[in-house]
Amino acid sequence: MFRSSPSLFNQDAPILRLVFFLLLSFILLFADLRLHATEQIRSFGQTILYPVQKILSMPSKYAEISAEYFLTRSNLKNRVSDQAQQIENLTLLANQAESLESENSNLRKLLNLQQKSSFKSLVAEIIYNPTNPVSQKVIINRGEIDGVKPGMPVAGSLGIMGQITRVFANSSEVALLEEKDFSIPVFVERSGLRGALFGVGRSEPLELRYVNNLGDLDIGDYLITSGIDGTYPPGIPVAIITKIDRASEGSGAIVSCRPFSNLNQYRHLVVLLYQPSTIAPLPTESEIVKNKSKFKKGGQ
Amino acid sequence: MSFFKSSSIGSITFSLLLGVLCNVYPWGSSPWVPDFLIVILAFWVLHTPDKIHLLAAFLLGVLMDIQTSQFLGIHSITYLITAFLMLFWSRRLLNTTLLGQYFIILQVLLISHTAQILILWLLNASNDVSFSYIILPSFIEALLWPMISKFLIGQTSNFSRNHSSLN
Repeated sequence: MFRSSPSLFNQDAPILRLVFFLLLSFILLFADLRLHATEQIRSFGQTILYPVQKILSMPSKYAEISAEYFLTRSNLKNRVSDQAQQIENLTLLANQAESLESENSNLRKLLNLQQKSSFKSLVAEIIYNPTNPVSQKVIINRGEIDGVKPGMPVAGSLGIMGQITRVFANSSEVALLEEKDFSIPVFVERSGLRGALFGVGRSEPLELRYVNNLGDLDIGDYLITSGIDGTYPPGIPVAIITKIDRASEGSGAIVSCRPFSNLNQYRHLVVLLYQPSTIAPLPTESEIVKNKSKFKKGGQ
Repeated sequence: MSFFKSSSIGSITFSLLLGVLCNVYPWGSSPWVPDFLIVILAFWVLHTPDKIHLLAAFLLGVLMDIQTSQFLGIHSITYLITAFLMLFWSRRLLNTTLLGQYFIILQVLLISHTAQILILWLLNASNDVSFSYIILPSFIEALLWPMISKFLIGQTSNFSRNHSSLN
């Protein structure tokens, strides 16, 4: 029974088959990482898994709902009065915002500035967040059918939460702010200083980069989307500065920030169906030729 | 290999599907969540190597990569290493007690989870290797082994008898 030698090549352990399948896995990994050629396999698998994910996310959802159902009467009464107050305040703010917006657009017209593009939003529910040791992602129940496209920003009630990274038929994947190398252009609300906010990793503070070491920054400053990349609509709150480490050596300050929205708390979030209208049109060929000839003439 | 007839394709498929369901359940992202499927897969690779082998490990791995939205191939490499080690140590595993099996399974899981985290670390080039994602799932899954093993052997009639006749 134990005669076979070398033991690696015994009948029980098919080393050749292992090598074959490992090679196949590495090819798949390479195709996914470098060529992005596995989207069809992925969407096929996701289509199979989606109904199962949907059904299995129900128990926790209904547990929440039933917990709501058994609230006591006084609790409920308190909550209703609180909400009535909140609605009144918000209505006031909304009216104010409306008048400000119309004023703003009129002023923009007068000054010949580009109009801000308006956008619709879509409420989505988180189905689950996948077990993943390195990244922070959630899967939501809106997909291609609902008009979601990769790159669209995702927000919570308090501010930006992340961005759509992958879209399937009925669901899509959202990378949260904490995702490593996630970046978002922002400016400091108080001083107007521009920079870019980067994700560092799971449960690590966000980092504000590309700001001057001597820049006008303070703990507690609000960071707001600047919208210069065209992906995020301008003026949406993102994070708050929690720590500033003015570097004695090196070029820049290390600025740590905390996102406004608690990334691991909410069940619902909002996909902003934002289609930036500020992209300049590509130059036509004739224009390029014209410019070239002009340049040549100038050169002579 | 006639004595393996008792473990029908039906119970294998059913238990593997159950493993997939357990993995798909929204537990949240935490190192405390074990990979149920890896234990069930390991059981069937050990006991029915003629039916469940590396191909099944590969395909289930790809499915789990899609579920966890990781790069395709990471889970399949983990599952392949697990399946291979189960086959490699199959004689030792079938000849020891449940406690002995526990320690061998723990080794197998530690090795395959280390491989997984190592690949993730190489791909992401982050500074911190999350050791908790190697150690916690491995220990919890190894604890699941005796239960799942007992349960699945109970599912397949005259299974253990045939094994004792083998030795």
